[in-house]
Amino acid sequence: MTSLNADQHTFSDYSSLIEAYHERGWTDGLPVVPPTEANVRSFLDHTGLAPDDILGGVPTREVTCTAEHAAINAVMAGCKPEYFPVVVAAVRAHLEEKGNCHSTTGTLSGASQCLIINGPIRQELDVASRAGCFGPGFRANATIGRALRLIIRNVCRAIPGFLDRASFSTPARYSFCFGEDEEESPWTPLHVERGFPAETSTATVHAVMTMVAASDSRSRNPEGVMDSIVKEARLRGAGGDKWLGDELNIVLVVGPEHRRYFAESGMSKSQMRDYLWPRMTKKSGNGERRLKLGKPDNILIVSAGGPGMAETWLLLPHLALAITKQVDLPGR
Amino acid sequence: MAHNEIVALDPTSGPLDRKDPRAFPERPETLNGAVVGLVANGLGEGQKMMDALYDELNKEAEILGSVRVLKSSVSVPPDKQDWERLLSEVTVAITGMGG
Repeated sequence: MTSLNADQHTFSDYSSLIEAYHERGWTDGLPVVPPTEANVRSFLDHTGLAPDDILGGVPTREVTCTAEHAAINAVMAGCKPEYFPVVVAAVRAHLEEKGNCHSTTGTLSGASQCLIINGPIRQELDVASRAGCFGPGFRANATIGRALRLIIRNVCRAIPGFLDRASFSTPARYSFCFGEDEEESPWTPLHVERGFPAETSTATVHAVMTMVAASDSRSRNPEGVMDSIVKEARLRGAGGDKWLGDELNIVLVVGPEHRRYFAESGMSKSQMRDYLWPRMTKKSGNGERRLKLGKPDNILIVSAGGPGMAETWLLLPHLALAITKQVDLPGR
Repeated sequence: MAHNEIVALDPTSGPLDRKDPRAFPERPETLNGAVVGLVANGLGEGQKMMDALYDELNKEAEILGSVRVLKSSVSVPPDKQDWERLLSEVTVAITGMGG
């Protein structure tokens, strides 16, 4: 059996462990599940990864994240072992060069990391994608998103006041994870659009500078809804960046009350982009700001949310690309 | 092991002490004779602000000169060659940050 590398600490009881982890700055302020060797090994067993396998790194911070690091933090976050392959995919996505961990976790603006899960694993793990899916109450959403954030803190060293320089930060930095509602969607799922087979599961990480709802309960057709989305988007704008090139993304999370107009008209995601892109990217003016999205495909469209509010949520980007990684499941 | 005792693992990639183990150099008492590095991150009017700051400092001290760096992108740290210029040519450096 390959040995683990992390230092071990002995505590007289659970309360002592919790206090010690808080004092050492190893938590997000909430209690954690004790990362014992047995727990961590059971997580690694669900991926087939060795403790030393490297998932990625942050060169500017001189850190690498191993499977063992990720497993320890996923245990602490309250994940089940079967969630761990999703956490691994999320870490790999976030630590891609243009996932830009250094900037998105250090920024004064307090960007969050949104994790979108696609494919069969959503239902196997009971990842919420409908009513309330951005919020609390769903173990998989809460703990998988939290695991990524604990890794960002403990491994990538984004600690408030140290390498995390956020002026206000955001509650979305505790956890921000949901699934695409593929079953109730009229469209091709996000991961299939990004080149993965439908039967594959994926994790997409998108750095979010600002999230805002385009609420529109009056429009009764796709064009009206999209005009509301454009109007809301152009109140904020999105700056381009030389290093990221033309690939900057915006994510639109379309709720069921808006989705039905697209379903009724048979409008595809591609047709939506063709309508949205020139309007989002046209020159700034009259108090509006353009979004510097290099091409229509940079608008990522996701189905999620529950009935009631006629909303589409706009997840405006920080300085990173939305990166999608396959969830590797050994033996499948 | 006692009944309730728990052995748990360190979740970090190394010490999270807020003090960087690399010592900071002492700040000079004066900028007289100094070469000042000005690192602008490319956001907004950052370069103009750096220029204005330099002009103000120049009124207070006899500064020898400046090395001006504009990051190639707001997303990333300065390029390697810019770090090398700063490390080899300047006495002190001022950085602008923003998000």
